[in-house]
Amino acid sequence: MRLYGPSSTRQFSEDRNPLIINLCTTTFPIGNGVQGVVSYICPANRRLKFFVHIVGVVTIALAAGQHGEVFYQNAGGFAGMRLWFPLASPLNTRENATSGFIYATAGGQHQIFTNLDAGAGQMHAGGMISGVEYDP
Amino acid sequence: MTTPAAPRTAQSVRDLLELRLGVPVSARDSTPTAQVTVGQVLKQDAARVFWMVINLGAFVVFIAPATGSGGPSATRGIRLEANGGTATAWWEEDGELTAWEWQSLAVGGASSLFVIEVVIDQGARPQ
Repeated sequence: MRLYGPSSTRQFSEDRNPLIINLCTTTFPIGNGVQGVVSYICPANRRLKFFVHIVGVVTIALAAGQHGEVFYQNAGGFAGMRLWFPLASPLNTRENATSGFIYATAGGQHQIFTNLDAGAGQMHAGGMISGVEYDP
Repeated sequence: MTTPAAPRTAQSVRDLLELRLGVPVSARDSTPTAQVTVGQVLKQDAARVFWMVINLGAFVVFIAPATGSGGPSATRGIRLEANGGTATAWWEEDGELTAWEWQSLAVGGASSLFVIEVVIDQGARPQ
């Protein structure tokens, strides 16, 4: 007897009711604290294989006591990636980062935030959660 | 006692098969559906030398020979995964299992099968 074909119930994710997820937002964060940019909650009975890209650029030099951040926070509330713009970052200071593949399980919330202190400076920042949602 | 046939030049795949197997064979196919209750997928056929069962449907299917120890179930049979799980039997490897009746059982919902059999061509069988 010879057996062929799918070797288990866990076939390629692209074979299981796939849905492309592309959540991308950029913003000029208001300089008074943490601000949500992108949020994704994995639906019941679904999973997401995705990556995160975060980016930020200083468009007006940050003030002496003003710093900025862009960060990704996973379902456990842990900031998995963070871009840090130090106090008084000059104009056009820019950072970006891209993750490897991440898996989201049902109910898990994955978010991208900006955090800019109050001050005269300004940033343009954002990020993207991109992947394939599928049945487990 | 019969005298072995003299070697001859094959003109087709059928000829090659006949030379290899010693008998002519032909193929047939069918598209049964495995139900959530036990049903027949391959009838008993002593002339069958090969079969292939492909599970084209969206549900797991179990197949098992129809013997006295019960029909296919989640704990008895060969599991054919959804969307392409395939099993084959060839008499030289699997013996009389190839000729037995086989039954199917789908889990969760009816599942389409594609079945190919190769049988000894009784009409062209040398006497």
